[in-house]
Amino acid sequence: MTNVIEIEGLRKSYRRRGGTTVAVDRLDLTVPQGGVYGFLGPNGSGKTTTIRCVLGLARPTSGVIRLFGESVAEGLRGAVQRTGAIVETPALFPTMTARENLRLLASIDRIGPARVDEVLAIVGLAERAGDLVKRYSLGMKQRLGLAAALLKDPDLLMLDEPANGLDPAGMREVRQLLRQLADDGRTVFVSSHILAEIESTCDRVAILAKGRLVTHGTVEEVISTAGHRASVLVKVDDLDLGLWALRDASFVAERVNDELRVDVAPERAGDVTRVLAAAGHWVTELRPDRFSLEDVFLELTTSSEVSDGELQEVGA
Amino acid sequence: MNLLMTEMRRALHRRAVRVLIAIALVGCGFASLVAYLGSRGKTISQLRLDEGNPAVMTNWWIADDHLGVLSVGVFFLFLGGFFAGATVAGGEWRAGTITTVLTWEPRRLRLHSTRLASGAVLAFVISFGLQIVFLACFLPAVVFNGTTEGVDGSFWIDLAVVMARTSVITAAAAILAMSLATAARNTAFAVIAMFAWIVVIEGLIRTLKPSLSGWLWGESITTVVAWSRLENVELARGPLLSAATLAAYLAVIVGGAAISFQRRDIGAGS
Repeated sequence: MTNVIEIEGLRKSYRRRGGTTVAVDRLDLTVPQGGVYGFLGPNGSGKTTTIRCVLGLARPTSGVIRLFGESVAEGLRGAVQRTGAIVETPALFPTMTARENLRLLASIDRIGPARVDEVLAIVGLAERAGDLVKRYSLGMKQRLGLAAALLKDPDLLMLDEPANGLDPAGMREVRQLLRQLADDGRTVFVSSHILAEIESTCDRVAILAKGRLVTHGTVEEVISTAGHRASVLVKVDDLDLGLWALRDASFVAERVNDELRVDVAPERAGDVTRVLAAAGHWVTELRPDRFSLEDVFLELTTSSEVSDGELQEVGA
Repeated sequence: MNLLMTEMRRALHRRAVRVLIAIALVGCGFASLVAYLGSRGKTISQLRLDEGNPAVMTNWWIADDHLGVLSVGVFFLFLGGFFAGATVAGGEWRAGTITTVLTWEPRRLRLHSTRLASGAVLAFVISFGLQIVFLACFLPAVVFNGTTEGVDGSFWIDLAVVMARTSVITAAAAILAMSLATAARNTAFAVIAMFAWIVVIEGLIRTLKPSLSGWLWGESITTVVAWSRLENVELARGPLLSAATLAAYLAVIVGGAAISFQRRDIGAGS
């Protein structure tokens, strides 16, 4: 599989008053061609800095970055022509209309006005294309930024928090659009801290914390290998007695809010119902306790220190 | 060429640029009215005695004196070119659009030089156009109250040449301002730096160390526009040397800004 982005040993530090701030530290990352790649991390984890380095907007302190096999340090013209990007909040010319903004950008790469109208329709701004950008809401600016990124019909889309400011319907539309673009064979590299968005859209993810990569792989791989035990959640009328019955039968169980979590593989759920029924407790609900990407994300990114020992490599 | 046209369109969209042009046009209209009313009811001989009265067309530019009505506009055009250039470059940093543009054209030196070229071309064309409007505004005074006597082919050539020199100075002011605003990533810095240099530092040098006045922008610009060595200046330089002095200042500032733009990171996020 061809790699679209290759990052080796990226380090980016800034000299500040009173010391040096390391924004990204020893980051190795490979983004394969095709699919949606989620780049996750809490605020200040180094996502935007990494994107800036990949796009040549910031100079790495050390490390090597290749975009479409082209070294970023040696110039990016060819690679950038194949890349559409939004970095942080999309910045467009506020005193121009959306259409004028896109036409202006399009003229740099000799893209015709038909494509401008096409991308405006794709992001749902066709009817407001004549409005000045300074009158746009944040959500509309995000859509316009996305339109600008799509203008080149790029092979790679790099989107930094594209769902910022969007309402739920807008988020769903963007999610569907990203999925569709990836299904068409493009690579979508999207940074976000809205985990629900990523989990349902991405094929692969990388999680960053304090400038370091803490895990990466497919969404399933990351969730399943994050160290969680398999368990099921059970509801019975009397939780306390039900808990005693399970513990008497040597199950490891605990009360979680208004249900019981039992450490057992979902395929052994029948054993749980049998024990509870034998003790006279009728199960009203039973379901596997699935860990979401959010659980994994919070677990990995809220630990006080991210050290070498905690780095995990999942999948290829 | 695409990038150049794009940059010119972008610069023309700046509200500050449009406001400055509008102010200049209003000023021209006001000057027209003053010239017309000031020349009404006067004989040609009286008008000739009025030094620099624009109703006498030959007063527009007096080649022998290296002075004329046209020289009034030089200072304003320089200021306008400077302020417009600073706003065009500084506004880009304030709005963050520099990041967007660099995701389309990552070759920074190419982008920077194209941007300066677009600023220079626009400043030159607008300056030349405004001078034409400025002079055209005096036509009612000339036609109804004044005279065109003495106007010949060489007058028009002299006039065109001095207008071109003034436009070059305006273009240089725009380039200077764009460079300062790019280096500082800020419009205000460029404007304050220019004010501090021209008003404070040059004023002090002129008073305390007049032997250095040949190095000053004010004297150099005046010499270049008039294309004549200044009188009453201790270190008066010829027009070519003054032009070279201005070019040297410009080269240092433009070069410094280009290096800064090439090397520094754009933004610093999470």
